[in-house]
Amino acid sequence: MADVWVGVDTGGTFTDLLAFNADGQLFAAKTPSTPEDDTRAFLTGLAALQASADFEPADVVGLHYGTTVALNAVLQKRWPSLGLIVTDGYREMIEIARQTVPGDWGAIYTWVKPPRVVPLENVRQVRGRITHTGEVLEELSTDDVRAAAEFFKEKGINAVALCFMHSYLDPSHEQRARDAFREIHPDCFLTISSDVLPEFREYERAMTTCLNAALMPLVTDYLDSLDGRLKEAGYSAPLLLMRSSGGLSQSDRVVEQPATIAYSGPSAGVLGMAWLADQIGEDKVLTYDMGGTSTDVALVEDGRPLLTTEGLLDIYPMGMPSIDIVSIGAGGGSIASLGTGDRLRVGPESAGADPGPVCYGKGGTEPTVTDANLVLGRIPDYLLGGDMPLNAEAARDAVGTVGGKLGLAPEEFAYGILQLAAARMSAAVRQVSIARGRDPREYALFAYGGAGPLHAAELAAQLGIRRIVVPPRPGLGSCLGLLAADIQASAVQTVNSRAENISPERIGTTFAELEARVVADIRGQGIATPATERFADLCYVGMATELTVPVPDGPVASSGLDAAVDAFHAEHLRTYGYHYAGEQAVEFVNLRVRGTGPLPRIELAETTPREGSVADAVLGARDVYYGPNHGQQETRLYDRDRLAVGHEVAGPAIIVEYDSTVLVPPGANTRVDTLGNLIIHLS
Amino acid sequence: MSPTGNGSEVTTEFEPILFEIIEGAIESARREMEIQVERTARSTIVREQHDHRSGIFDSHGNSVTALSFASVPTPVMTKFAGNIHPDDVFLYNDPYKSDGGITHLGDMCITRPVFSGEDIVAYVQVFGHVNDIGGLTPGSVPLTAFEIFQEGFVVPPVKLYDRGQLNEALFETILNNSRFPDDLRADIDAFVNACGIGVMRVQELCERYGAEALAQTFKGLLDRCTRSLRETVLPMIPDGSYTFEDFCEYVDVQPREPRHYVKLRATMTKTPDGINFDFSGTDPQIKGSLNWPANGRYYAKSLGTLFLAFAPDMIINDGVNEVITCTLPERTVLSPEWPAACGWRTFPLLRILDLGLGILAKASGGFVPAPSESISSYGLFGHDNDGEYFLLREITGAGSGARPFADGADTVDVAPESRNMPAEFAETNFPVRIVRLGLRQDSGGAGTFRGGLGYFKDIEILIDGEMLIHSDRATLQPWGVKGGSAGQGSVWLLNPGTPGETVLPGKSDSIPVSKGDILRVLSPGGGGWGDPLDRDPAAVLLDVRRGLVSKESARDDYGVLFQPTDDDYELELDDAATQAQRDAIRAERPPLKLFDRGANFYRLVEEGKITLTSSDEALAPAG
Repeated sequence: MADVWVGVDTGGTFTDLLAFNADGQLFAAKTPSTPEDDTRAFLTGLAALQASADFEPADVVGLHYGTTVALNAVLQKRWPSLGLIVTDGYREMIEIARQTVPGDWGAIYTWVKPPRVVPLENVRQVRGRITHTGEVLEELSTDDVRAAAEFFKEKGINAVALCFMHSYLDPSHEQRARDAFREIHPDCFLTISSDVLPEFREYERAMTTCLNAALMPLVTDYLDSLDGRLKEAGYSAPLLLMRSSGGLSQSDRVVEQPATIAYSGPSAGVLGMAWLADQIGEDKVLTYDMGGTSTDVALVEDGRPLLTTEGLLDIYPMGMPSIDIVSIGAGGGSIASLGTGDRLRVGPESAGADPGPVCYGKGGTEPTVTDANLVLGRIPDYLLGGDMPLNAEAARDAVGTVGGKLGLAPEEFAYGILQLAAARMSAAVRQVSIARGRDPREYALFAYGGAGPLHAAELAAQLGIRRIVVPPRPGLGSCLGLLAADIQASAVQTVNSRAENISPERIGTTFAELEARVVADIRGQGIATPATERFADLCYVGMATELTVPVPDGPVASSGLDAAVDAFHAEHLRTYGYHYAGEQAVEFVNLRVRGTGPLPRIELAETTPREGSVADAVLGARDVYYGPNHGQQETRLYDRDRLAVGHEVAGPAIIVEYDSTVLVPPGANTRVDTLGNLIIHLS
Repeated sequence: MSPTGNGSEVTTEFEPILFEIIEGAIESARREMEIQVERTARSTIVREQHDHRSGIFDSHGNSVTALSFASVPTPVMTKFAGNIHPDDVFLYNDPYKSDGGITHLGDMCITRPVFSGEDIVAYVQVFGHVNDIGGLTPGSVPLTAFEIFQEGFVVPPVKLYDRGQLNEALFETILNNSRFPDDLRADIDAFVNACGIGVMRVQELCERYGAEALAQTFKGLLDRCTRSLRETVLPMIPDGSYTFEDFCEYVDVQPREPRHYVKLRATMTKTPDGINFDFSGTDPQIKGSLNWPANGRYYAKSLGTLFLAFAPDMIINDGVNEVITCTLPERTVLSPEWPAACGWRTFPLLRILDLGLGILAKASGGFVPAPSESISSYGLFGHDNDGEYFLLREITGAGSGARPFADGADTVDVAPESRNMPAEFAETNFPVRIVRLGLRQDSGGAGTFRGGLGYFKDIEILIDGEMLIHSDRATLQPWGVKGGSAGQGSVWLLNPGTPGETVLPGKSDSIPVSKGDILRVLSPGGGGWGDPLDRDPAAVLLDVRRGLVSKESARDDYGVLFQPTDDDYELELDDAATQAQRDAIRAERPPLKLFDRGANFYRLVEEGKITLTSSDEALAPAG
């Protein structure tokens, strides 16, 4: 049997698996998730996949995993009692945070400060001070470190974060403190900020380090247990985990930086679309993943997702690079309700899976987006291939009750609910694109997830987007990404130096160090020839946000740095609409290196045109309501599996498949491309 | 069905749906503009402290977006009537030519029109508080100013861009008057470009849904604000008349002004049809910078946000003026006459929020949050070690007031999403070292719910230079509510714990400092809420274990005592002793009050330095 690569994505409801082998064959499996112990569904799914695809565990050479274990632990605050060691004088730094009240005016009266990740009584201070220029102002007190270690040991605190001032510049105090600490309390999980995030701004660095410490025990246990069960089942391939940054890493790396896998699954989904975009030559892509409770959007350019270092993990800042995904509470379960002055809202309140939408008949009373789709005839009146009937009459009553208060018939209000849901999603898209100066109209919308293909046309219309791409098996977007990813490692160093007095030698040395670290990391994961890329974060002097630009490879001469400065002016122009080239001083803030160790990738075989016409794919027809502009129209239903390359379907049409429904609105046109994607052109 | 627009490809939606779509779209556009400002503006006050606002206005100049209660486009509309063109960009900062919308010179206001064909369909505005516009002191908010001309350059409404063409001579002249022209340029460019986003979004709505639908929706949004206040908010407030008074400090700042305490007074009269705020009894304008040259329309919108507490999903826009009105006598600190200085109208602005809380406390029997004094600032200026002229300015937050349902938050700022300056950022960019970044023990007012704590921050100064201090409530503390105690007022110390320790004035334009000096910032705590003896002893235990409250305060203020231990981590309550202590305090203390304004306040009243002309007791039972 040929070598097999397997991607496993644990979702809230289902665990999806996708595999390919060296012969280019693809296999998929789906099994209910087991949130009490994700390893069970992982193994169950593997067994099912193995049976359908006829391979042996020993044939598997790559196991790529998208997991929610870290994210769920943070959302549910499931971590042990934690400790924090800080520079003397900074005991209350994470209590103070950034003096921010989130929300709008008046929020100071209502916002309640949430408990910190590390309670204040578990924060210890250590003397020793390094300045912002790297000068040692006060030697590290190892006595203080030992006293702190004794304290944590005595109190039974076994996960500790350590963050000293300016350690991004000189990690020696943190490293010596770590060594001294380990002599006293060797069994403690200890993580130091200069390892986790060597970037300046002490609160964000400390919080990222604390979250890392919080997740270490749990993620270590989980991956140990998964590893053990895989070995038992005969799988010996190394487990590679998807990080939020869109790269894979071996589990022994991940346990040192567990906070980096928080958005494992969603990132894999974006990466899957990025890979697909590259395959079909789309260079500007907006990815759109809509599920039952939330919608994730991200930008992809030239086959690469755009990254951010200003992410949040739940309510906590997460400074490590991650794909810039904007998530909002708009999904199939989002509730439509009237507020003060009959203000109509759709979401973020969700009926969830229980009770779920009214049409589930499990006690839901408020109309949801799914109920609206059912009232309009856009989805069939059953789920799960007929196992779960939906109550269309109850949905219609609920939609009609609320709509009646606004003087709208059930169909009219149902249509309005979908328009408003799309309006909320388009606001999210505008916020991710405007922060980058991008115009969404220039982008193609890649719709996936269970509900994405159903709502893509409305979202595209509101954004002025003309082209929608729906991949084959839109529910398996994350698995696709897992099998199209490479091993990646990245490193960063803050330099804080003005361009006019920068030393190319110093920059060259720093890049060389970062590259050596990244290359060694990837080689340690079995890839002999990693590629590296250099980047720098630049700003005009006095700005507090930077833009990341590429830096040329090779020996660093001032010309290469000039090129980075020019690239910065250009990026500022592109992002914000103007620049100050030649007029204002520029500062290098951080240097970054990203290393990539290429892995074999999934291939989508080009499907050859098949015998038969579009008419063979027609399943039937029904009346669907399209709003005041298009009214009610008879709409054909098509079976996506029976549509072949080159087939074209004119809207209105509904194309159904196993895990999703695609809506082609009146006036639009759909074509099946050579890889089986549906390309929808809006009028 | 909504009316169709004039374009051929206008999309029709059902009216209630279109209404929500447009409301959502303009609120989203407002947020996009704000994001753009924060990412590109250079002044820390704009960027970190979020002292900026974006707004969208209908063609009559009414604000239709939320929180756009300050600047208005009418000064531009009036002066340039018939002479407004696509891609024109207007600039002004003159409070006395702003129709009460821009209330100190530091706020640079950009206005851009939105056209559909030949017609103006909307205006878009951004204003923000820039770093420096000249004047007596770096940062352009001299406390000692008594005329506006000492506070910087004054720009009347002018065209910065005429049909997209920059007036370079004007721009150069403006920038030339700032100590930090690069910062000012980046700020104004940020506002102009952010307005551009708003213009584009409103134009997109026009193209998609038609100008007429847009105009109808704007009108409907104003109506909805009015209707929500009438139908939802008014019935929740008992009819009656409620007066509250509070003060700003101006102690020995400007010899021309003998008054040390400036009174603000408001009477809210609630009838079934509306609410009137009457500011009679407010002190005459002062010869100093604490005047606030806004007008009744501004105050109505600004106080209107208080009522969001009753219906958080309301959008407060110009529709508020149909329900909330203001009566404003002439030439008070809230209605000063040109050319009064107004740089520090910030303090009356904060105090007006407290007046609102005090009034609602009286109307509700105390079921409101206690106040806080959450904006203080200091500045350090001089030449750094590279010989470059610099101004370090930081806003320090404070403890927020306790609520009837929760403790106040520590070290926060009333301006939402504002941020402090990271110590590593400060040390990298300015000649200072942050020696201690901590919380001020016992600063929060005691109560069933405790006020939040202020800062305890020590800053070592690494050059010879000068300092500015801008703070209030040094003497008059944030008050406690319904039995809660006042929080501690602000304290600024130079070289604490040394023979040269000096208590610095809370308001000063010039304090010489030397290399090696330590500035200690002790910012105010929030007021407490409810009887401290009703606070859960376990909460007091946690506060003491964490060092937020001292054992002395636990004993004296909360009546909580602990088992003896030499390890506070293992601290445990002494339940019996706590009960006895609480009983003893209860037996001896005077009756609890609706407001506790703190010992300094009552001393000043006794000394005749301040007077209250209305009772501090509740006039009506809880509604």
